Amino acid sequence: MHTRKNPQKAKPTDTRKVAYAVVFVAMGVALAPYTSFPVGIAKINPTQHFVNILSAVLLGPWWAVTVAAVIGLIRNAMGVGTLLAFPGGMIGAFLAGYLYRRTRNLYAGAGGEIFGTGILAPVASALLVAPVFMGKAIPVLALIPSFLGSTVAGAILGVLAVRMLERADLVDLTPSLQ
Amino acid sequence: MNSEKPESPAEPGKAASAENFILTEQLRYSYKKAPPDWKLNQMDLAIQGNEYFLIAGPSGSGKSTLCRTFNGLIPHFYGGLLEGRVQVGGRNTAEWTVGDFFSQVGMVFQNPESQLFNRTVENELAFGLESLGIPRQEMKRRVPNTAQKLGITHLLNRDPHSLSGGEQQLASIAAMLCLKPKVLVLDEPYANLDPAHVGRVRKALRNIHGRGTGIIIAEHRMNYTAPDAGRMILVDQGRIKEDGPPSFLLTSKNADRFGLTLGWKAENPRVADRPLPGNSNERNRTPVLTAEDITYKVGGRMVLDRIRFAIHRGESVAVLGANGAGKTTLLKHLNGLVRPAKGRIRLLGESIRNRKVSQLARQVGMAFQNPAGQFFKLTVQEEILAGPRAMDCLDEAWIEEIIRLFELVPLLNRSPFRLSGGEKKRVAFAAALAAKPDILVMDEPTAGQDGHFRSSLGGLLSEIRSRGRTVIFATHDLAFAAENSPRWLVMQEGRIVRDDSPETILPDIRFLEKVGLHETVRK
Amino acid sequence: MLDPRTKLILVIHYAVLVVASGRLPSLATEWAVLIGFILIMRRLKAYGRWLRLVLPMALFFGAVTAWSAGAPAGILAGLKLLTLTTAFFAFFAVTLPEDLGNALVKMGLPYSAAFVTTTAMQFVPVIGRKARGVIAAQQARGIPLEPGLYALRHYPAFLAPLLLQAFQLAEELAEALEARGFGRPGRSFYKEYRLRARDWIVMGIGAAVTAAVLMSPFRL
Ligand SMILES: Nc1ncnc2c1ncn2[C@@H]1O[C@H](COP(=O)(O)OP(=O)(O)OP(=O)(O)O)[C@@H](O)[C@H]1O
Ligand SMILES: Nc1ncnc2c1ncn2[C@@H]1O[C@H](COP(=O)(O)OP(=O)(O)OP(=O)(O)O)[C@@H](O)[C@H]1O
Ligand SMILES: [Mg+2]
Ligand SMILES: [Mg+2]
Repeated sequence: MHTRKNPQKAKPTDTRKVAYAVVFVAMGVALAPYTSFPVGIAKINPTQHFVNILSAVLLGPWWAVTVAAVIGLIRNAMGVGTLLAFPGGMIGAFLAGYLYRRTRNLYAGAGGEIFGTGILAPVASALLVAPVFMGKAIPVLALIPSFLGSTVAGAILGVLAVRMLERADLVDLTPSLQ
Repeated sequence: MNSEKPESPAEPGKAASAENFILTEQLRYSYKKAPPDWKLNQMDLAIQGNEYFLIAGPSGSGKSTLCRTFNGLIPHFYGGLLEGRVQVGGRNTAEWTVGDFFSQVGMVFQNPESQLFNRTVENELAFGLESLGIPRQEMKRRVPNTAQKLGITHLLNRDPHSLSGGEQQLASIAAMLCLKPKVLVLDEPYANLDPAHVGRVRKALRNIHGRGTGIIIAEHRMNYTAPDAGRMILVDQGRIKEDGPPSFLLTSKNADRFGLTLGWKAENPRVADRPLPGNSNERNRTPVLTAEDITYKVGGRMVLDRIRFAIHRGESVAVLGANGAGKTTLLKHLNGLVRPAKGRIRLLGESIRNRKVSQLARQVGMAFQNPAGQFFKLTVQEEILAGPRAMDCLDEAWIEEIIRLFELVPLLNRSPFRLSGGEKKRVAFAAALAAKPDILVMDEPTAGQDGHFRSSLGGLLSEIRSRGRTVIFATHDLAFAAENSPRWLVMQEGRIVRDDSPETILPDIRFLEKVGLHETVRK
Repeated sequence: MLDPRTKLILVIHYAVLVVASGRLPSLATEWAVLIGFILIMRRLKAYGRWLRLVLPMALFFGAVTAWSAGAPAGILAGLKLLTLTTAFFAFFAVTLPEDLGNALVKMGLPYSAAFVTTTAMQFVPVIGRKARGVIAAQQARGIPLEPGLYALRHYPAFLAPLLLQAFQLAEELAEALEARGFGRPGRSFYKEYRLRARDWIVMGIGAAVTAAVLMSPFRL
């Protein structure tokens, strides 16, 4: 009776991805005050984009979007983020995850993050989010500098981090999580 | 095919009954696939369902690894290469998933911070039941019952991350016990607990065992475990060296060789037989370190309350106290990491108020409670050199000497994050000493360490002191403190309640009980 | 008490009203109503603390808008943001995140997504502690490390060890989750979530009010 062969023998579960997602979200929320700095009137906060690269590479596009959305949700609930965090985080995360999955190239992923957050997200914010508040669109140009600054800084950090984790032999990028 | 699973997963596998609930045959395991590096080797082991079973062995011998094979985490979660077989409740673990075993083999891991993840202790207890799909009414019965059995009913509404180490340990055990497992596996449950908490956990485990649940426990501290266990094995380099009743095994030659008896004798801590370098003969000179009415509050609660003491050059001072007494907070004041709300610290007579931590590092070297949390370089060598380089005080001869002293030569090019527990501590001590500080501060130097490490650390400390350096350490390990320091500062709820020698403190059982340093639980 | 889903639907209705408002008096009224509610729930003190964090953000947002679309639009935008976020503050003041998560799971949200949200909130302070620990460890070895731009420049010294610790934490958490049967099909719920008659009634009233206000000739 106890000799059943398990049909899904030793199938890697999603548990690891869930645990990493939890920790990435916690990092995205907790580290913001440690790594943000003002540039002119805008505040550059690369943490979100740094986390985007990590989750895109390690967990794939769908988890990356989820992580970005949850970071936005918690930061809003805690009163330390704006609604702009949603387009500002999720678009780049998805693009980074998608491009990385297609190309398996870290730099393609980082490029996706920068294009998604630096160009697409301000457009989406100006066209969709801003009108909700102002009744009319605001110029995209008003948003690009702070979005672009954050994402470039975050993407650089993310790439460095993934490289470092590989070197420290803590992350094996080829198989496992993906 | 689901119907072939046992009718109710919550019920322990009855087919196997008490006979050899866990069975390993020629078990070999390697975390790496290629080339295999066998961390468990030729293990043949049969454990019955109702035993109280102790796994002992030096650090890095494979105790935790063995525990992970009992519920299928190895191989399913860790991957790697497993040869031979492990059978639990009559089922081969390789052919079933962790989810099929977790309710029969409850696993309590060493680090409570990462195994408690719910908002309240109550939810923590319910989580496993929810996974099993137990009906709500049954859950509502089991959760309070289990809490009551372990005496943690008053904690049910607390956030697990706000509890003390001992309370967290009890909550983790309760979360597993709720599932009514056949066997409870605990990996170093006592490493960070004060004696009073150890007493509570031990009593709870004896109770559970009395009601028919098997206990498997991996520990270094024989004095806490051997009296309770009915059988023990000694593991070394992944092989079983000895197997038998603890009283018999602890008198064997092998036990001596692996330093097990050190912890065993420690049941009644004795003051060191060898003469310790005296503390008092320099008392008339300026103290190296004085605390003047240090007071510190967190969120309106007094964590330190008018602490005062003076420490002289060459002294060795042990700070003792229960979990949460404020030991770590006090040590962090000594190098300015935490600043007092009132009062001041003087270093060689001068207040440290206006000095940065990074400047004080030159005089005060600190090794933290959690060694993994203090590394920031990718190799051991870099780690040790980081401090002296930053402070521009690199003394090659000294570095070579401490590397020799701490036996770190074979580790220099490894990553500090990947070492075994004992090795991590050694690197942390070496790094703290690298800049030749006058004062060495250590937080829980012996937590989770094997007998060998404890005795060699003792030797190191007296060598360091003989060179005119001062040593201050916080610990709950009375035996280690008695052997290595002639002066004890005993803390309770943020105050120093006694500053005396171990000879006078140790016989005062009533006092030790009162401050949570004695195992018997007060009623 | 009401089911978390009911509360969520109510707050969404309220958010729709706030978004639809285009005049200062309506926004001010909506804000005042929320403050009244917070007062009744005895959360005014927490709201004050929260406001201190949100106010600069609203000002900044208003400033950006004013710069691109004129001062009146800027004031309106700032106030609207404030009112909208206050509505969600009020919502979270009366709803536990885990209740919300579990209720949403009942509505079809994947369990892992809800689990990530509620559990991550538990681990935010843990990561914060670890970050402070990394800084403390280096200061204690003579390396001055401050947050902010400096931490970025010295990225390997700050983020690298933190990341290594975070990965360790994730591995241990995953192990602990496995050991408690995470991801097994057929979960049950310790708390009961059920839509009772009063939930349906409250939801009905909410929908009716929103529809009436939006349809009425009165310009919000
Ligand atoms: N996740 C892992 N990946 C790779 N190697 C590991 C892993 N965990 C442990 N090891 C290695 O396996 C060996 C046995 O480790 P294990 O943790 O079982 O020792 P232990 O007896 O529990 O030691 P301690 O008393 O220090 O806890 C060690 O050499 C260790 O470095
Ligand atoms: N930063 C902080 N925030 C909140 N509470 C704190 C903080 N630091 C210390 N505490 C509290 O102060 C008390 C003393 O903590 P401390 O870590 O100094 O105890 P300890 O004696 O070192 O205990 P253990 O033996 O468990 O290590 C505890 O109750 C702890 O919860
Ligand atoms: Mg171990
Ligand atoms: Mg401590």
